[in-house]
Amino acid sequence: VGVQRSFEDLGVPLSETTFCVVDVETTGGSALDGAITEVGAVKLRGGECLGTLQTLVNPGMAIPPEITVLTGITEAMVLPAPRMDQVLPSFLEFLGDAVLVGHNVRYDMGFLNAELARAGRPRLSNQFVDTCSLARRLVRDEVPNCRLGTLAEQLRLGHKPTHRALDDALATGDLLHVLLERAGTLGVLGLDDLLQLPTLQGSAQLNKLRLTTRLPRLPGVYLFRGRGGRVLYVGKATNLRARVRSYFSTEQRRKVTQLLREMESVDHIVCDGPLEASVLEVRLIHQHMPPFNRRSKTWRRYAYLKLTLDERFPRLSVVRKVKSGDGALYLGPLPSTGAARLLAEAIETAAPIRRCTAKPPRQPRAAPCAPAQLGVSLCPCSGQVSDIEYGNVVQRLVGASPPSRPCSSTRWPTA
Amino acid sequence: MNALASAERFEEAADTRDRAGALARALIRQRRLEALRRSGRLEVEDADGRRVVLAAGRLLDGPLFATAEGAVEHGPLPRELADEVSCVAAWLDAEASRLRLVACDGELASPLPRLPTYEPRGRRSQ
Repeated sequence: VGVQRSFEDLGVPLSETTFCVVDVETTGGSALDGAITEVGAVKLRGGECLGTLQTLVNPGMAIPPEITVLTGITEAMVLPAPRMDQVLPSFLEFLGDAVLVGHNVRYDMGFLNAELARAGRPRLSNQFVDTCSLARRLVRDEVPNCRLGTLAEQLRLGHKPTHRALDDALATGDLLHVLLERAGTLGVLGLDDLLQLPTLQGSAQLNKLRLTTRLPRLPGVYLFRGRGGRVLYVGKATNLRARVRSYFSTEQRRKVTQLLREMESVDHIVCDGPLEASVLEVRLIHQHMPPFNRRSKTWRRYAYLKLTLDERFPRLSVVRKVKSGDGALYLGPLPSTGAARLLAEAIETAAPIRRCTAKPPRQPRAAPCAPAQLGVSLCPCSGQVSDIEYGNVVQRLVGASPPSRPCSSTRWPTA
Repeated sequence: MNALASAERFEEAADTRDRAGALARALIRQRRLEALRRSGRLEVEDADGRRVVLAAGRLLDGPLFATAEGAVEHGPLPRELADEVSCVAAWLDAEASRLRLVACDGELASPLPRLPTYEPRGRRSQ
């Protein structure tokens, strides 16, 4: 039973990773109604073969004749062979915590897991690599199809697959080495890169994957740069390498494709922790205003709602800039002037503060502003509002708002 | 809002709700940021023993931020700092249970009573 691996473990260089190539021959069908007739495995590390394992297995059921024709394994051959539950211990010991490799490895794992379940053992927890999907990603344009036999012929592998377990495992091992060599030119150097490779989109941008080779597996901020070093996008990540490479994965959002097309280099800044990374991200977005970022770019549109305490009859006003030392009370920054106006409306419905901007006239006007006529606001333009009455309204408002300055100085001077 | 809704004046009720919601959200945010800015020089340590130094809500730590100009503690928060300070506030709120306070020369508290929210019930997370 393996322990969950961390990112650090996954960054193991491929040359130091132990692979166990596995192939099983079966009675056919699915893992539910079939059984294993032969197991073959090869252990590889750094391009060298560490050992092989091969054994016939008594499937405990008849082998269909067409399978015998294909594999050459007859019932007479498997009759004296051990049962799978006797083979499992030595197989598991051979496998250890190596990375499981196979051609259509899910098929082999399906049978092995079914046998493990029958024997009351836990499922395989090893990392696994499928040479078939790797081949589709890396050599598809050179071969008519991705069957093991075809690949062995076209890529001139050292071993020829024969539909016998060990031969096929050896051929798959050769195939793995060819594929790792190809992947290396794309900057796939660590195990995490390799495990991610089959999910990468088969796009024309795949060659840009090598731009990510230098990225460390550390938290930080990354910058996608386009022609002339222009910053296209700023992002943060807890694992820079994995995050940037994930852009090449199945993510099919149109914006991402366009970003990858325009991208010419990737910069990164390693940070101590997530807080430092997110603050730096915000600062860099403010500085560069990258076209592909959306968040944190609208700060120039931020607005304040201001209560003009410097006027005789204070009112609410939406402003872009703070005037320092004007004695006014500010609320904000708010996301936009629209948001500030909505807030002003909310306050004006709750408190009868004046809504018109006119200076209070010396003489009462014939027609005060509409809100004053409706009686929803206490507007001095009607000429009937005393300073004290209005002052109380304002003071209630000031008392309800959070102090944006030391409390002592926000006191409204009552007349 | 309820009176309008029971009188089947739903559009007006929705307007009232939106206004009240906007006001409550703005005040919550304002309080959060003001509280952070009043905390002065704040030094916290996270679970991994990493130390973070903040000055009135701005990160003043590591070689990267040595150039950060002095924090403005009075007056409303300048627009260019809003994103950054909200970012720090969000981090502090999310990590609060895993942080250890090392030093603080301002006040670090949220003494005001909780404000009502007007979010749909499913999204209410507090």
